[in-house]
Order: sequence, then C-alpha cells, then structure tokens
Amino acid sequence: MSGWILPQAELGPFLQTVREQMQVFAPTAVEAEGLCALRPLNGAIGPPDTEARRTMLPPKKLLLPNNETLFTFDAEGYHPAPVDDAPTVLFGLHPCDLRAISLLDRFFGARIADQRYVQRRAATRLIGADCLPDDACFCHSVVASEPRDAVYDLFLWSLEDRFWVTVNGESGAALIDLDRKRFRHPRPADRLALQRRQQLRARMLENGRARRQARGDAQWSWREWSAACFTCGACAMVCPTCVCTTQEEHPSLDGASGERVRRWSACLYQNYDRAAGEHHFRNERMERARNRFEHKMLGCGVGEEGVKCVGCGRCVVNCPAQLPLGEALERAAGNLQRAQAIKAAAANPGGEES
Amino acid sequence: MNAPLRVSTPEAAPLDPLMPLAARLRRRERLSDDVALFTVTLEQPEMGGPTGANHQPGQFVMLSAPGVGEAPFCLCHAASTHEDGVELCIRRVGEVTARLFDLPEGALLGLRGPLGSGFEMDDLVGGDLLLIAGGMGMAPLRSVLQAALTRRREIDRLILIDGARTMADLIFWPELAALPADVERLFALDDPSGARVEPLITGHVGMALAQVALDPNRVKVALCGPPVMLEPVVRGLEARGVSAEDIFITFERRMSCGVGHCGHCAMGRRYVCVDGPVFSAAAARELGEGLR
Ligand SMILES: Cc1cc2nc3c(=O)[nH]c(=O)nc-3n(C[C@H](O)[C@H](O)[C@H](O)COP(=O)(O)OP(=O)(O)OC[C@H]3O[C@@H](n4cnc5c(N)ncnc54)[C@H](O)[C@@H]3O)c2cc1C
Ligand code: SF4
Ligand code: SF4
Ligand code: FES
Repeated sequence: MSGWILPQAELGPFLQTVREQMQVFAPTAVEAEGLCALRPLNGAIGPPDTEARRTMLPPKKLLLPNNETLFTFDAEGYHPAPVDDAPTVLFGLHPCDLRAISLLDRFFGARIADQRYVQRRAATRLIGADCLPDDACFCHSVVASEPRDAVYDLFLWSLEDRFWVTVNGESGAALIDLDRKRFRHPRPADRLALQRRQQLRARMLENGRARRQARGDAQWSWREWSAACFTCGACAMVCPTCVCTTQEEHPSLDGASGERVRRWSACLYQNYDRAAGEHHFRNERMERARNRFEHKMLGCGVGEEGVKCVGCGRCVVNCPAQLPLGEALERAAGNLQRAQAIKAAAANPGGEES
Repeated sequence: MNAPLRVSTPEAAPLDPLMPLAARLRRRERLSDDVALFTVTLEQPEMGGPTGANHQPGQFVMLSAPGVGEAPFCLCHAASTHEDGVELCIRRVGEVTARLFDLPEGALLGLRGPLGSGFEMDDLVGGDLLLIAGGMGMAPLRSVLQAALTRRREIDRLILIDGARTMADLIFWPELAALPADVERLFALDDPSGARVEPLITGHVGMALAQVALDPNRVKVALCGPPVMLEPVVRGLEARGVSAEDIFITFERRMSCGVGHCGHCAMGRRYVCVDGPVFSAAAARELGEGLR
C-alpha cells in the first residue's frame, strides 16, 4: 500500500494549513455535554484526539442539514435558497462513517439527484481516521470496518507517534500538496507498524463479535422489541444512514411570502404515514419497527438493495429504552450473510470457489 | 497557492426536483360537494415541469398552495387529449386542499413533476382492458381511459366498472355516461337514489365485477380505489383466473418529497413515489404492505 508518513506532531500544523483554504470539522469532546461532536476547528490545533469516540450526530448533519431552507416564495413565485457549499474538510471520520457517506452519495446522487446534497458534497473533502472499536461497535459484522469504498480523500492509520496516510485520487493528493513538507515517504519499519496496527484492529473487531455472541444475543423478536420502544426516533436522528425527512411550510406574517424547510424525521413516528381518513399503513409500533430495521438491513427502493447499517453503534448508545439494537442488527446481518452464502452455494452446486 | 479544493460545480445547475415551478390556477369546476376539477398552467413551461402534454397515465404532480404546503395529485387526463395545462381532480380533505378550493382563479401555485412511474399502456393493450375505479379512483383511471380510447383499435373489449357511495359522489359521470357505445360499463352505487347513469347495480364494485363476463387469459386490469377496496377486488379477479401479474393498481401513500428521498411513502421496501405509484398486484403482494 502506498502512502505518506505524517509525524503526529505535524498533524495540527497541517490542519492549520488546510484551514487557510477550507473550514475543517473534527470530532471534539464536549465535556459539558458529555458527548463528542463534529465541530469546526477553531484556534490553535493541539494534538488531535485519535482515540476520539463516535460523535453523537453523524457527518450527515453537514451534508443533509436538519432544518434547511430549501426555497422561499413570494408573489412572484419560488426562489431557490442558497446552498452553503463552502469548501469543507471533515476530519477524523471512522470507516463506518465513510461507508455511510458512500451510501448517502449513492442514495442522493442516483436516480433523481438531490441538488443540494450533491452540491454540498462536491465541496466536501473527507479525511478518515482509523479507530479501535468499543463494545457498541459492530461495523465488522456489516462489512463497514475497513476504509473500502475509496470515498475518502485521505485516510490516517495511527502508528504510535505517527500516521500512515493513504491517499485517494487527485483530490487527496491536492490536500497533501497544500503542505507537502510535513510528510515523508514510508520506510520498511512504517510498513511493519501499519501491519501490526491493522492486525490489532482486526483482532479487536473479531474479539468483540465473539464476546457479544458468547453473551448470547437475547431471544429477540419484533414484537418484544417494539413493545419496549418509545418510538422517540432517537435511533434515526443519530443514524449516519437514516434519510427520512419532512418538508414544512413556514409562511411569513404577511401571508404572501415564506419558506419551505426540510427537517430530519423518523419513520418510527406514528403519523409518518398518515393518509386520508386518518388511515395508517403502519399503525402498530411493531410494523414501524420492522419498517426501519428492514430498510436498514435490506435497503429500500429499486437499485437500493443492500445493508444500510454501518455498525457505528450510535443507536445502541443513544436509545433511551436501552434496547438491544446492536445485537438485533448484528444478528440480522449474520442471518443475511448466511442466506447469501446459501444462495451462492445453491447457484453453484459444484461447490467450486467462484 | 492554487486552490485545488475548489470542486466541480455543475455548469448549468439542473432543475432542483424539490422546487415548485410557478403556476396559475386557471379553472376550478365543481364535480361534487367536495371534489373539483382544477386546471393549472405553468408560468414558464419552457423551464420544464408538467405541461399536461408530457406525462404518462398514472403519473402525478406535487401541487403547492403557497403558505400552506404541498400535496400529491394524479394527472387525471391523458397527455394526448389536453394541451392547455394539467387537469387535477381534487377532493377537499385538509389544509392544502381547503386552500386550493378557496383561492381565486388566477392565483399563484407551485407545480412539480410529472412524477412516478405510471401505467405502461403497452402492457394494457392487445386484449381486453378492464378499468375498475372506486370513488376518487376514477381520477387516475380517467387518464388511462382517455389513453385507451386513443388506442381503441388495439383493445378488443374495453370495460369500465365505476363505484361510489351516492350519485353525488360519482365524479365525471356526465362524460362517462357519454362514452362511445362500444365501451362496456357498469356503475355501482351504495345508495342508488337519484341515479342518472346506467347500467347500474346497488352495491359495491366487487358486486358489479361479479356480473361482468371475463376471459381471464385475455384481460388486463387497471385498478384504483380506497385501500379497503383493493384486497377483495384482487381476490375476486384471481378467483376467476386472472393472474396477479395482469392486474395493475395505483397506490396512494403519504408523500413529502415525491422523488424517493424522504421515506414517507414506503410500501414494504419500495417508494411509491418513484418505484410506483403503479404496481402489479403480484409486485404489491411481494412487498407485503401493498396487498396481503
Ligand atoms: C400518488 C398520489 C396521488 C393522489 N391523487 C389524488 C387526486 O388525484 N385527487 C385527490 O383529491 N387526492 C389525491 N391524493 C391524495 C391527496 O394527496 C391528499 O388528499 C392530500 O395530500 C391531502 O392534503 P391536505 O393538506 O388537504 O390534507 P392534510 O391537512 O394534510 O390532512 C387532512 C386529511 O387528509 C389526509 N391526508 C393528508 N395527506 C394525505 C396523502 N398524501 N394521501 C392521502 N391522504 C392524505 C389526512 O390523513 C387527513 O385525513 C393522491 C395521493 C397520492 C399519494
Ligand atoms: S431510540 Fe430506542 S426507543 Fe427511541 S425509537 Fe429508536 S429503538 Fe425506539
Ligand atoms: S442502525 Fe444504528 S448501528 Fe446501524 S448505522 Fe444506524 S445508528 Fe449506526
Ligand atoms: S414521497 Fe418522499 S420518498 Fe416517496
């Protein structure tokens, strides 16, 4: 694997240089609120927290902002609201969040593209960072634990006092070129260290899975799960791949003008599907729970088939009912993989490797 | 330093699919107590958007009443029949629709579309074509009926079953009563008092359907009606040998974006706004939430 080496002490100064060109958002511990948030980097940049926890809100908050004015209207008609597409770097995104962005790119870029998402995304550069999983992470089980989709521009592997920086494409190289002098070419010892780091991560991911399995995932069904769910929608708000939104009309007092706003929403809300005559298509909580989790595991829409959960663990740590969502999703993913393996074996009865 | 980070912005920004285009309310013609036929024209049709001449039967538009909001309505005429704007048949049920009924002619509206995948007329012609409408279901099926009449020679029997609660709820009845004689028809009214259409039965469309002779191997069906009507009608058709693959249904769901992004309209693992609103009964059943 080709790459560059960036000494840890040089990361802060490098980001300072980048910040002269673009705004930089990075995971920031917010002690007062006891959480970690993607915040703009201001002031002097100290050594970044490479053991950063998952941010409470995912990077989608910058690409698909909550409460966004889509357009305004007046007596003349409708006028597009400006898109905040200032050049931006999102720094420190873990592999699960990178995977989530590649899923959003596909969702909002294909078929009928969302102009606002596409425009903002085109102005966004992604610097990923590796991480060591905690007990709520199950990215490994949903094949989102490695920086695979080449959606990032740079990806930093943490090697004690330095980073191995993987570069993707011209836009990644251009970021390095902003401050080339801080990077050096890798040496054999760096390669060894990279291997060790990757092996450590893989072991931790696998051990985590084994530990959760050994604990025995509680016998779990939609009915039991939904009986305890508040349908508060927290799991959807924090999910990096949940896309449900609602458009709202905000008229001005003059009655002739106003704006239309797009807000995050959740398919778990009871009136999400309300139709004529107070008709509901998913009136029972269980049906709404099934809807969300089926969509997470299997996707929704023609051409959108596939696992949409990236195993980031946000819903696990933020569910106020403390439901075993991670175990449920991980088990569903396991079942899915088994089903696919069985299907592949059936399609290939000779049993040869394909 | 050069700015390598300035990223490609599309040269001519394409039409934002969420932004309504300015339109005017041209005409509003009462069809019943709470239903009216609206004619709406784009202010600048050259910008794109639904002109009334560029859609498929079964497609829909999003219509905005500025200051209140937006709602989906199907285009209730065939593109070939009508070129001075879109015709929408709208029932007054809530906030947006109430405003649409109160606005004066000439008022500013917003329009986007045509949206969704409608009926493929090529799939419906070639044999017998049976249209089954319940209540407001006649609105989308009117576009299919008009399209079918322009391709009348490719259809052997053209049959219409239309049901409503009372005569006052039977939308479009004058033009349905005046259909060419070779269009077989049967109306069903729960309450037949004061009926001005025939042939007529007292009861629901399922009962009317039972009275129509069908060749299950030749017939294609287009169906639209309230959710409670769909299941029994499909079962009735299947009991008579019609394949679920040959029954096409237009479904209604809550919508917000209309372009497959907001999740409101999910039916099983499909979005009604882009993957539908027209699905075959077989496809709808596979989705679980469409039909059981
Ligand atoms: C593809 C499609 C095509 C449609 N075509 C037509 C049509 O041709 N003519 C027509 O009159 N209506 C049609 N509808 C239904 C129409 O969109 C709703 O009646 C409308 O959205 C109600 O808006 P409102 O603001 O007046 O009601 P609200 O104030 O939002 O709600 C009032 C009442 O309307 C119901 N309602 C709200 N939104 C919907 C919805 N999307 N679908 C059904 N009920 C809803 C509520 O449950 C409530 O009972 C169609 C819906 C879809 C999805
Ligand atoms: S966060 Fe928990 S309680 Fe809230 S909707 Fe999700 S699963 Fe239900
Ligand atoms: S479903 Fe939960 S674990 Fe999966 S991506 Fe969403 S928040 Fe993360
Ligand atoms: S209406 Fe938004 S996804 Fe269908």
